[in-house]
Amino acid sequence: MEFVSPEGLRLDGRRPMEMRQIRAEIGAVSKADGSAVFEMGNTKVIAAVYGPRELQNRSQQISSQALVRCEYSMANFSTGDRMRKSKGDRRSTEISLVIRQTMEACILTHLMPRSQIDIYVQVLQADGGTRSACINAATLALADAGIPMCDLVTSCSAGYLNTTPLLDLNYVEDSAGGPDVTLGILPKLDKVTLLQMDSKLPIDILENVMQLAIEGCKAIAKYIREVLLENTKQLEYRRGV
Amino acid sequence: MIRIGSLEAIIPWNTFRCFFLNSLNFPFPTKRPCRSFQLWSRLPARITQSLLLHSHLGENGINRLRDTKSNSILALPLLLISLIICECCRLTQLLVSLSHEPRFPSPAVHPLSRLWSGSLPSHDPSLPRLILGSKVVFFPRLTLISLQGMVSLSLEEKHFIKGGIAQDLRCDGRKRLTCRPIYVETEVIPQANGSARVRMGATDVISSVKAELGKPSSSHPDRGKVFINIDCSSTAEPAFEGRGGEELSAELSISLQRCLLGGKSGAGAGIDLSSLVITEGKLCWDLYIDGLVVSSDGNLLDALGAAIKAALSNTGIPRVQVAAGASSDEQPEVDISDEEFLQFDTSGVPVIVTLTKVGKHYIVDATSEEESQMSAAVSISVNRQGHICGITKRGGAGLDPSIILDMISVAKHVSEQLMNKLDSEIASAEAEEES
Amino acid sequence: MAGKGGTTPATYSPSPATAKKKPPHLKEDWLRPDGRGFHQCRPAFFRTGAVNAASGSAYAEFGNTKVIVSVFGPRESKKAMLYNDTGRLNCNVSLTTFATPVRGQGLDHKEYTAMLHKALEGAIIVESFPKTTVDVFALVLESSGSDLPVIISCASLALADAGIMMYDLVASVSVSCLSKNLVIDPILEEENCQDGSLMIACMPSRYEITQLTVTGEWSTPKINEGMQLCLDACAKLAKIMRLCLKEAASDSQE
Repeated sequence: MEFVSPEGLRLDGRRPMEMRQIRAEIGAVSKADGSAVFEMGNTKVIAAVYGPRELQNRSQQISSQALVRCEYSMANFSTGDRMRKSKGDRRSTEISLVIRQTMEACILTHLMPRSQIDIYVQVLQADGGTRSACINAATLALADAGIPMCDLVTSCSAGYLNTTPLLDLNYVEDSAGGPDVTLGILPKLDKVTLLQMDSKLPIDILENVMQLAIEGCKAIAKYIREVLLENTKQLEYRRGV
Repeated sequence: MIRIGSLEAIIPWNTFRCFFLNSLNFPFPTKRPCRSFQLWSRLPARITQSLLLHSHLGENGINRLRDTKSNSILALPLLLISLIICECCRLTQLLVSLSHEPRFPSPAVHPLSRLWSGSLPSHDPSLPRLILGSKVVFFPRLTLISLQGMVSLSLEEKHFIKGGIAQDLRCDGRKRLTCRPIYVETEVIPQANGSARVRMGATDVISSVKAELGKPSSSHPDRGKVFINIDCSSTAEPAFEGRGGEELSAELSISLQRCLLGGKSGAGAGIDLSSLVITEGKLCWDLYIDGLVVSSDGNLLDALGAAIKAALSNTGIPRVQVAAGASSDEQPEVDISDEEFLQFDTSGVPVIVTLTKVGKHYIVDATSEEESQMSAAVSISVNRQGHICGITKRGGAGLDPSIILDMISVAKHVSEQLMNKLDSEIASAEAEEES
Repeated sequence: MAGKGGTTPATYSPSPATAKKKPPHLKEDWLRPDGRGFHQCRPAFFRTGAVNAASGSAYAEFGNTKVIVSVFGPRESKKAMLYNDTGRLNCNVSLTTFATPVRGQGLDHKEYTAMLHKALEGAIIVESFPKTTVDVFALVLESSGSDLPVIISCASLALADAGIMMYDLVASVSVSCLSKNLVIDPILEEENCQDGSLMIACMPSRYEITQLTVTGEWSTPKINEGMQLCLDACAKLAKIMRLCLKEAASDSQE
């Protein structure tokens, strides 16, 4: 199947290096300590953060740092075919783990010993790149909750189809079976916190694809920062500062 | 808000609570009821020196911690510490007011007594503070919230809510029979045939309708099938994590089925099942109605009912051409149109009104705080003709039959307003979407 | 035509053909399949002490609907549960594999479980057994209409047999709406073609409703009529239940 037309356009009309439209909104769940909606094209996720708070299960207490927990769930209507899934299937458990580890790397957990932070991500629409969208949403929600972090983690995926590196795969491109690199970075510190790849890819091309994904992450980081700044200004304004 | 040179910090209550109390072994001024900054001397001198304090901590936790120069989010322990000093006046007052609560007569009989440690200050053992390990100080109210994952109010707040309802003035300024404003948004899930998002205060639900071709059941060949399934997302409440939300989800699904699908014969159903049939006995539409609770602040059933009504009026079912001449035994061949959609008739879909009984009175559209004080709640679904389409009762307390009949007549009255409000909201949401 | 329930077709016929027939209850001279009047309940039979191992149990038979309920406890609440100075009620309703006309899986019935819990929790004095849990296990041996009301009534009898403190016995009755008629205590065939149903669980001596569900479209006068019908029947049912308890008590004294 042809994923890039001779004119250099992808199935949804994007250029290979072009990202889908992203949109973020802070404060979707008013009861949570922090929450955010993150959209990448048709992918839409909600993240809510509860905490830091007392431990639910005291046996899990860590005396030197905070316990970070994460649950990923997909809404029944999130995919094209309606699916009936139970919470906690293997895929969502794996993604929960990935998100948890990524977020744990940036939260300054040692500042909040013997407490717990819960991150809940809910996928409303899935169109490829849910993992990245979830991480971005979680970052925003954590920032909204005011949890100390060393940097904003952002994530973006990139793939390699028809001998072209493609940024931000959608569902059709993602399910084509080609290599798919999901990357998470700490943009300020210039560090990679998450790197996942399916399928195989020559090492020199991997470098290109990764570079592309890093560019994507940085663009998202820039956007997230703008959103946060805007939100802060709003808050300041409302308080009459 | 706090400034130190170019640094600004706005920090929510939770964060510094955990951080600060943990890291400092914070000595609360238990002898003197505060307003004195006696604490300062107990903190390391280098912290107190450089602080320029400016407290703007308000009701709802404030949410940012940033450096004005680089605009990056950062953690600055100093800021956290200074902030709690700003806050300590308010904190101690909170402590003092809680200490009068009869709910905590002594540590030994309190349900959380196993969490109380022996390291309470000797001079005032009745002070309701919670010491985890040897360092952390929490307040009972906050502790209860996170331990049970539900609203737990202090006695004063309970009295306040009940007293307000008795005087026809609720915490948010509403009267007993006033609903919160409803916001409807349609076409929120592009993959679905119809979808809507309904917000009432902090309650936020999404409903989607998906139509799939299926086979009618053998007992009712002249009817389509409708499946209602509700999910409670853990984003709404940490208690819904894992299997925690299943019980509530099942309860909501069953109540909605009862209210929308009518009796077994199909009479009085809000959704006309016979309109879903394409070929009798062979082909029909299966409607899958999914609801998702994104954020919950009481009155979920009414919100879900409204969301389903909005989603159904947003639903377009593709026109289907059945190939003629197929023999009676085979599945007929069908041609589903991509362009032509049939609008769904939703005039018969009822609205649900839940009357929550608190004390002697009942209220509509209760928030979760109010729901926690209820003795019983009756959810009544009423259609446009003013007929009752389903009743579900929740809550343990028994009700006198005359009260229930009274509730039904009140619900009828309220449902008219709700129905009109919802219809105009749906119409404006659809107009917005088209423009 | 009245014997619809009795005459099962001798040969298998595909259902569309049978369903084409006009539902019998629309006819003017329709009689109930079991010959009862519209406002006449099936004969109720109760017996306590059906299960020896349980602290209390009861067996109920309404026509072909047969239910057995056993009550265990009060026992210590699970450690994982939060401290509670009132007691807890734990209910479970399950169906035997042979309970329904079509062989079922014998699964737990979640809907009935939730409803049973709600119907009973208002009647039990939970303060009388703090920190403990009472288990109510209901097993439907044969399902033949009005299952839930029978389960609820039987469960309250079993609780009384176990000596759990209650404000009153909970009696429960349902009515079905078949076109214009209201029929009380419907059997399975009637339930399958009902336009609506109304179920009430109440404490007759206190005249309080603990659980109420309505399905289908009802006008207010009809709801009034249905509720009154149910409440009257509940009062009668409670008398029978009380009689059964008295009998059991006098038996044990002898």
